[in-house]
Amino acid sequence: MALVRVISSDGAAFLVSQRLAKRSGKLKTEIETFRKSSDNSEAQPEIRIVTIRAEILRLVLQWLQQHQNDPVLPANQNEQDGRGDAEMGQSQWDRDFLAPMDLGIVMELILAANHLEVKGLLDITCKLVESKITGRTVDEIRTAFKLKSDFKGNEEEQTRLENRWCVEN
Amino acid sequence: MKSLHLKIDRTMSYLIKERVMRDKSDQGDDSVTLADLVLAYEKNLSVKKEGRIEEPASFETRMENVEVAGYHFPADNLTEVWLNIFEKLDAKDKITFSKTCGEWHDWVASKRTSFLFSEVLPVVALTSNLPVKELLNCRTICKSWSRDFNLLYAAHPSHFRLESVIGALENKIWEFNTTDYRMARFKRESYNSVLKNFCFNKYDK
Repeated sequence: MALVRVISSDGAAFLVSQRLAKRSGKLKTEIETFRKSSDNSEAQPEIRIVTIRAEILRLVLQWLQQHQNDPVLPANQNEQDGRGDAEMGQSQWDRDFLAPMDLGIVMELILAANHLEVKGLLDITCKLVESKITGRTVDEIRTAFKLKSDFKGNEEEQTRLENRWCVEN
Repeated sequence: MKSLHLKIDRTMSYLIKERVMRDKSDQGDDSVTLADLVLAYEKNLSVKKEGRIEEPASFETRMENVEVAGYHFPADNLTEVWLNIFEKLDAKDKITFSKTCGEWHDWVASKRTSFLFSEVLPVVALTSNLPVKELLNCRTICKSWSRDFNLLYAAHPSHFRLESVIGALENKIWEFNTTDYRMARFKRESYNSVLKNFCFNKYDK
Protein backbone atom coordinates (compact mmCIF):
# COMPACT_ATOMS: atom_id res chain seq x y z
CA MET A 1 0.00 0.00 0.00
CA ALA A 2 1.41 3.40 -1.02
CA LEU A 3 1.91 5.67 1.95
CA VAL A 4 2.45 9.38 2.45
CA ARG A 5 4.03 11.13 5.41
CA VAL A 6 2.07 14.20 6.55
CA ILE A 7 3.94 16.45 9.00
CA SER A 8 2.18 19.03 11.18
CA SER A 9 3.45 22.52 12.03
CA ASP A 10 4.82 21.28 15.37
CA GLY A 11 6.71 18.39 13.77
CA ALA A 12 4.41 15.41 14.41
CA ALA A 13 4.42 12.96 11.48
CA PHE A 14 1.37 10.96 10.40
CA LEU A 15 1.81 8.01 8.07
CA VAL A 16 -1.37 7.57 6.04
CA SER A 17 -2.33 5.75 2.86
CA GLN A 18 -2.20 7.82 -0.31
CA ARG A 19 -5.77 6.77 -1.06
CA LEU A 20 -6.90 8.37 2.19
CA ALA A 21 -4.70 11.46 1.77
CA LYS A 22 -6.03 12.05 -1.74
CA ARG A 23 -9.48 12.70 -0.31
CA SER A 24 -8.07 16.08 0.64
CA GLY A 25 -7.76 18.35 -2.39
CA LYS A 26 -4.60 20.00 -1.06
CA LEU A 27 -2.84 16.71 -0.20
CA LYS A 28 -3.86 15.25 -3.57
CA THR A 29 -2.23 18.17 -5.40
CA GLU A 30 0.90 17.90 -3.24
CA ILE A 31 1.22 14.14 -3.92
CA GLU A 32 0.80 14.67 -7.66
CA THR A 33 3.38 17.48 -7.63
CA PHE A 34 5.78 15.22 -5.75
CA ARG A 35 5.25 12.40 -8.28
CA LYS A 36 5.99 14.73 -11.19
CA SER A 37 9.12 16.17 -9.62
CA SER A 38 10.51 12.91 -8.22
CA ASP A 39 12.61 10.54 -10.36
CA ASN A 40 11.97 7.59 -8.08
CA SER A 41 8.36 6.47 -8.45
CA GLU A 42 8.65 4.33 -5.28
CA ALA A 43 9.75 7.25 -3.06
CA GLN A 44 7.45 8.09 -0.19
CA PRO A 45 6.05 11.62 -0.42
CA GLU A 46 6.52 13.86 2.58
CA ILE A 47 4.13 16.77 2.96
CA ARG A 48 4.68 19.47 5.53
CA ILE A 49 1.57 21.41 6.59
CA VAL A 50 2.95 24.51 8.23
CA THR A 51 -0.37 26.01 9.28
CA ILE A 52 -1.95 23.05 11.11
CA ARG A 53 -0.81 21.68 14.45
CA ALA A 54 -0.74 17.97 15.33
CA GLU A 55 -3.92 17.86 17.43
CA ILE A 56 -6.00 19.36 14.62
CA LEU A 57 -4.31 17.37 11.84
CA ARG A 58 -5.02 14.15 13.75
CA LEU A 59 -8.72 15.09 13.94
CA VAL A 60 -8.87 15.84 10.21
CA LEU A 61 -7.21 12.51 9.36
CA GLN A 62 -9.52 10.73 11.80
CA TRP A 63 -12.54 12.25 10.05
CA LEU A 64 -11.13 11.35 6.61
CA GLN A 65 -10.57 7.76 7.73
CA GLN A 66 -14.15 7.46 8.94
CA HIS A 67 -15.45 8.87 5.64
CA GLN A 68 -12.97 7.19 3.30
CA ASN A 69 -15.70 5.31 1.44
CA ASP A 70 -18.04 8.29 1.02
CA PRO A 71 -18.35 9.86 -2.44
CA VAL A 72 -16.05 12.89 -2.82
CA LEU A 73 -18.08 16.11 -2.84
CA PRO A 74 -17.09 18.64 -5.49
CA ALA A 75 -15.68 21.82 -3.97
CA ASN A 76 -18.15 24.05 -5.84
CA GLN A 77 -21.31 22.10 -4.97
CA ASN A 78 -24.26 24.37 -4.24
CA GLU A 79 -22.06 27.28 -5.19
CA GLN A 80 -24.98 29.36 -6.38
CA ASP A 81 -26.75 29.66 -3.06
CA GLY A 82 -23.56 29.32 -1.02
CA ARG A 83 -24.91 26.44 1.06
CA GLY A 84 -23.04 23.30 1.94
CA ASP A 85 -24.38 19.80 2.39
CA ALA A 86 -23.96 19.57 6.10
CA GLU A 87 -27.46 18.38 6.89
CA MET A 88 -27.43 15.82 4.09
CA GLY A 89 -23.96 14.46 4.93
CA GLN A 90 -23.96 14.65 8.73
CA SER A 91 -24.09 11.22 10.32
CA GLN A 92 -24.46 10.17 13.94
CA TRP A 93 -20.70 9.55 13.95
CA ASP A 94 -20.11 13.18 12.90
CA ARG A 95 -22.33 14.45 15.68
CA ASP A 96 -20.50 12.29 18.24
CA PHE A 97 -17.18 13.42 16.75
CA LEU A 98 -17.96 17.13 17.16
CA ALA A 99 -19.99 16.98 20.38
CA PRO A 100 -17.14 16.96 22.95
CA MET A 101 -15.10 19.60 21.11
CA ASP A 102 -14.47 23.08 22.41
CA LEU A 103 -15.62 25.81 20.00
CA GLY A 104 -12.02 26.99 19.62
CA ILE A 105 -11.02 23.53 18.35
CA VAL A 106 -13.99 23.54 15.94
CA MET A 107 -12.82 26.91 14.58
CA GLU A 108 -9.31 25.54 14.09
CA LEU A 109 -10.88 22.54 12.32
CA ILE A 110 -12.73 24.91 9.96
CA LEU A 111 -9.48 26.61 9.01
CA ALA A 112 -7.74 23.23 8.61
CA ALA A 113 -10.56 21.77 6.49
CA ASN A 114 -10.57 24.90 4.35
CA HIS A 115 -6.80 24.76 3.89
CA LEU A 116 -6.74 21.02 3.14
CA GLU A 117 -9.87 21.29 0.96
CA VAL A 118 -11.95 18.71 2.80
CA LYS A 119 -15.44 19.83 1.86
CA GLY A 120 -17.47 17.42 3.99
CA LEU A 121 -15.65 18.35 7.19
CA LEU A 122 -15.81 22.04 6.32
CA ASP A 123 -19.58 21.82 5.87
CA ILE A 124 -20.33 20.13 9.18
CA THR A 125 -17.99 22.36 11.21
CA CYS A 126 -19.36 25.55 9.62
CA LYS A 127 -22.87 24.29 10.31
CA LEU A 128 -21.94 23.88 13.97
CA VAL A 129 -20.63 27.45 14.23
CA GLU A 130 -23.69 28.70 12.35
CA SER A 131 -25.94 26.91 14.85
CA LYS A 132 -24.19 28.81 17.67
CA ILE A 133 -25.19 32.10 16.01
CA THR A 134 -28.56 31.52 14.35
CA GLY A 135 -31.58 32.23 16.53
CA ARG A 136 -29.46 33.15 19.57
CA THR A 137 -29.55 36.37 21.53
CA VAL A 138 -26.48 38.61 21.72
CA ASP A 139 -25.76 37.45 25.29
CA GLU A 140 -26.03 33.78 24.29
CA ILE A 141 -23.57 34.31 21.44
CA ARG A 142 -21.17 36.12 23.80
CA THR A 143 -21.36 33.18 26.22
CA ALA A 144 -20.86 30.58 23.49
CA PHE A 145 -17.81 32.37 22.04
CA LYS A 146 -16.47 33.48 25.44
CA LEU A 147 -16.60 37.16 24.54
CA LYS A 148 -17.28 40.32 26.48
CA SER A 149 -18.84 43.48 25.17
CA ASP A 150 -16.16 46.16 24.78
CA PHE A 151 -18.42 48.89 23.41
CA LYS A 152 -18.10 52.25 25.12
CA GLY A 153 -20.86 54.77 25.78
CA ASN A 154 -23.58 54.53 23.18
CA GLU A 155 -21.54 52.65 20.57
CA GLU A 156 -23.62 49.48 20.96
CA GLU A 157 -26.86 51.44 20.63
CA GLN A 158 -25.43 53.18 17.55
CA THR A 159 -24.66 49.79 15.97
CA ARG A 160 -28.19 48.59 16.73
CA LEU A 161 -29.61 51.70 15.05
CA GLU A 162 -27.46 51.03 11.96
CA ASN A 163 -28.74 47.45 11.89
CA ARG A 164 -32.34 48.59 12.20
CA TRP A 165 -31.81 51.11 9.43
CA CYS A 166 -30.52 48.29 7.19
CA VAL A 167 -33.30 45.77 7.65
CA GLU A 168 -36.49 47.74 8.25
CA ASN A 169 -38.75 48.20 5.27
CA MET B 1 8.34 57.34 15.94
CA LYS B 2 5.69 54.62 15.84
CA SER B 3 8.33 51.86 15.88
CA LEU B 4 9.95 53.49 18.91
CA HIS B 5 6.59 53.43 20.69
CA LEU B 6 6.20 49.75 19.84
CA LYS B 7 9.64 48.89 21.18
CA ILE B 8 8.90 50.74 24.37
CA ASP B 9 5.53 49.01 24.71
CA ARG B 10 7.18 45.58 24.39
CA THR B 11 9.65 46.30 27.14
CA MET B 12 7.08 48.08 29.28
CA SER B 13 5.99 44.94 31.13
CA TYR B 14 9.57 44.35 32.26
CA LEU B 15 9.94 47.99 33.23
CA ILE B 16 6.82 47.75 35.38
CA LYS B 17 7.99 44.56 37.09
CA GLU B 18 11.44 45.95 37.74
CA ARG B 19 10.16 49.26 39.03
CA VAL B 20 7.82 47.58 41.52
CA MET B 21 10.47 45.17 42.75
CA ARG B 22 13.11 47.89 43.06
CA ASP B 23 10.78 50.16 45.05
CA LYS B 24 9.80 47.28 47.31
CA SER B 25 13.38 46.16 47.97
CA ASP B 26 14.36 49.76 48.79
CA GLN B 27 11.70 49.65 51.49
CA GLY B 28 13.13 46.35 52.78
CA ASP B 29 10.13 44.30 51.59
CA ASP B 30 10.67 41.50 49.04
CA SER B 31 7.02 40.53 48.56
CA VAL B 32 5.17 41.95 45.56
CA THR B 33 1.36 41.99 45.67
CA LEU B 34 -1.09 42.25 42.81
CA ALA B 35 -2.26 45.63 44.07
CA ASP B 36 1.32 46.94 43.66
CA LEU B 37 1.41 45.74 40.08
CA VAL B 38 -1.98 47.20 39.20
CA LEU B 39 -0.93 50.54 40.69
CA ALA B 40 2.33 50.47 38.75
CA TYR B 41 0.48 49.64 35.56
CA GLU B 42 -1.95 52.52 36.01
CA LYS B 43 0.93 54.88 36.75
CA ASN B 44 2.57 53.67 33.58
CA LEU B 45 -0.60 54.45 31.59
CA SER B 46 -0.74 57.98 32.99
CA VAL B 47 2.93 58.48 32.03
CA LYS B 48 2.11 57.41 28.50
CA LYS B 49 -0.86 59.78 28.35
CA GLU B 50 1.37 62.69 29.38
CA GLY B 51 3.73 61.80 26.56
CA ARG B 52 6.82 61.23 28.69
CA ILE B 53 8.86 58.28 27.46
CA GLU B 54 11.44 56.50 29.55
CA GLU B 55 14.45 55.21 27.69
CA PRO B 56 14.85 51.47 28.48
CA ALA B 57 18.31 50.55 29.76
CA SER B 58 19.64 46.99 29.79
CA PHE B 59 16.96 44.48 28.78
CA GLU B 60 18.78 41.31 29.87
CA THR B 61 19.48 42.58 33.38
CA ARG B 62 15.78 42.99 34.01
CA MET B 63 15.00 39.45 32.89
CA GLU B 64 17.60 38.06 35.35
CA ASN B 65 16.26 40.14 38.22
CA VAL B 66 12.75 38.90 37.64
CA GLU B 67 13.77 35.24 37.50
CA VAL B 68 16.08 35.37 40.53
CA ALA B 69 13.33 36.83 42.66
CA GLY B 70 11.03 33.90 41.76
CA TYR B 71 8.43 36.37 40.63
CA HIS B 72 4.95 34.97 39.90
CA PHE B 73 2.27 36.78 37.96
CA PRO B 74 -1.10 34.95 38.02
CA ALA B 75 -2.94 35.54 34.75
CA ASP B 76 -6.45 35.01 36.05
CA ASN B 77 -6.45 38.01 38.35
CA LEU B 78 -5.04 40.60 35.98
CA THR B 79 -6.54 39.82 32.58
CA GLU B 80 -6.33 43.33 31.11
CA VAL B 81 -2.60 43.57 31.74
CA TRP B 82 -1.95 40.19 30.16
CA LEU B 83 -4.20 40.91 27.22
CA ASN B 84 -2.33 44.14 26.61
CA ILE B 85 1.03 42.37 26.75
CA PHE B 86 -0.17 39.36 24.75
CA GLU B 87 -1.50 41.47 21.88
CA LYS B 88 1.95 43.00 21.41
CA LEU B 89 3.71 39.65 20.99
CA ASP B 90 4.36 38.24 17.54
CA ALA B 91 3.05 34.80 16.49
CA LYS B 92 6.15 32.87 17.58
CA ASP B 93 6.23 34.52 21.01
CA LYS B 94 2.53 33.84 21.48
CA ILE B 95 3.14 30.10 21.03
CA THR B 96 6.06 30.20 23.47
CA PHE B 97 3.89 32.13 25.93
CA SER B 98 1.15 29.47 25.80
CA LYS B 99 3.67 26.66 26.34
CA THR B 100 5.15 28.26 29.45
CA CYS B 101 2.83 26.59 31.94
CA GLY B 102 -0.58 24.99 32.21
CA GLU B 103 -2.21 28.10 33.64
CA TRP B 104 -0.99 30.32 30.80
CA HIS B 105 -1.88 27.67 28.21
CA ASP B 106 -5.45 27.49 29.52
CA TRP B 107 -5.71 31.27 29.54
CA VAL B 108 -4.61 31.47 25.89
CA ALA B 109 -6.95 28.58 24.97
CA SER B 110 -9.88 30.48 26.44
CA LYS B 111 -9.09 33.41 24.12
CA ARG B 112 -8.89 31.18 21.03
CA THR B 113 -12.42 31.84 19.78
CA SER B 114 -11.93 35.61 19.70
CA PHE B 115 -8.50 35.37 18.07
CA LEU B 116 -9.67 32.98 15.35
CA PHE B 117 -13.00 34.56 14.53
CA SER B 118 -11.73 37.06 11.95
CA GLU B 119 -10.16 34.17 9.99
CA VAL B 120 -13.11 31.82 10.39
CA LEU B 121 -15.87 34.32 9.55
CA PRO B 122 -15.27 34.56 5.77
CA VAL B 123 -15.15 30.74 5.52
CA VAL B 124 -18.34 30.30 7.55
CA ALA B 125 -20.12 33.05 5.61
CA LEU B 126 -19.22 31.41 2.28
CA THR B 127 -20.01 27.85 3.34
CA SER B 128 -23.15 28.31 5.40
CA ASN B 129 -26.21 30.38 4.77
CA LEU B 130 -26.52 32.83 7.66
CA PRO B 131 -29.49 35.19 7.20
CA VAL B 132 -28.68 38.90 6.86
CA LYS B 133 -30.53 39.66 10.10
CA GLU B 134 -28.32 37.23 12.03
CA LEU B 135 -25.16 38.64 10.43
CA LEU B 136 -26.17 42.17 11.38
CA ASN B 137 -27.04 41.02 14.89
CA CYS B 138 -23.45 39.79 15.27
CA ARG B 139 -22.20 43.36 14.80
CA THR B 140 -23.45 44.14 18.30
CA ILE B 141 -21.42 41.37 20.02
CA CYS B 142 -18.13 43.26 20.40
CA LYS B 143 -15.97 45.76 18.55
CA SER B 144 -13.78 43.18 16.80
CA TRP B 145 -16.84 41.30 15.48
CA SER B 146 -18.38 44.56 14.32
CA ARG B 147 -15.17 45.39 12.43
CA ASP B 148 -14.94 41.87 10.96
CA PHE B 149 -18.54 41.93 9.72
CA ASN B 150 -18.08 45.39 8.21
CA LEU B 151 -15.02 44.10 6.39
CA LEU B 152 -16.94 41.04 5.21
CA TYR B 153 -19.66 43.25 3.76
CA ALA B 154 -17.15 45.58 2.17
CA ALA B 155 -15.27 42.73 0.50
CA HIS B 156 -18.43 40.97 -0.71
CA PRO B 157 -18.46 40.48 -4.52
CA SER B 158 -21.87 42.14 -4.76
CA HIS B 159 -20.18 45.35 -3.63
CA PHE B 160 -18.80 45.84 -7.12
CA ARG B 161 -22.25 46.65 -8.41
CA LEU B 162 -23.19 48.83 -5.44
CA GLU B 163 -22.76 52.14 -7.19
CA SER B 164 -25.07 51.10 -10.01
CA VAL B 165 -27.66 49.79 -7.51
CA ILE B 166 -27.55 53.03 -5.52
CA GLY B 167 -27.65 55.13 -8.67
CA ALA B 168 -30.61 53.21 -10.06
CA LEU B 169 -32.55 53.34 -6.80
CA GLU B 170 -31.85 57.01 -6.13
CA ASN B 171 -33.61 57.83 -9.40
CA LYS B 172 -36.76 56.23 -8.02
CA ILE B 173 -37.59 58.32 -5.01
CA TRP B 174 -40.47 56.08 -3.92
CA GLU B 175 -38.04 53.16 -3.42
CA PHE B 176 -35.72 54.96 -1.02
CA ASN B 177 -36.82 52.88 1.92
CA THR B 178 -36.41 49.45 0.33
CA THR B 179 -34.11 46.93 1.98
CA ASP B 180 -31.97 46.65 -1.18
CA TYR B 181 -31.26 50.35 -1.17
CA ARG B 182 -30.51 50.43 2.55
CA MET B 183 -28.20 47.40 2.33
CA ALA B 184 -26.39 48.91 -0.63
CA ARG B 185 -25.89 52.21 1.19
CA PHE B 186 -24.73 50.38 4.29
CA LYS B 187 -22.21 48.34 2.33
CA ARG B 188 -20.88 51.45 0.62
CA GLU B 189 -20.45 53.26 3.94
CA SER B 190 -18.76 50.23 5.52
CA TYR B 191 -16.45 49.96 2.54
CA ASN B 192 -15.54 53.65 2.70
CA SER B 193 -14.84 53.39 6.42
CA VAL B 194 -12.61 50.34 5.95
CA LEU B 195 -10.82 51.97 3.05
CA LYS B 196 -10.23 55.11 5.10
CA ASN B 197 -8.78 53.10 7.98
CA PHE B 198 -6.60 51.12 5.61
CA CYS B 199 -5.20 54.26 3.96
CA PHE B 200 -4.69 55.91 7.33
CA ASN B 201 -2.75 52.92 8.70
CA LYS B 202 -0.76 52.61 5.51
CA TYR B 203 0.39 56.22 5.47
CA ASP B 204 0.86 56.28 9.21
CA LYS B 205 3.53 53.57 8.86
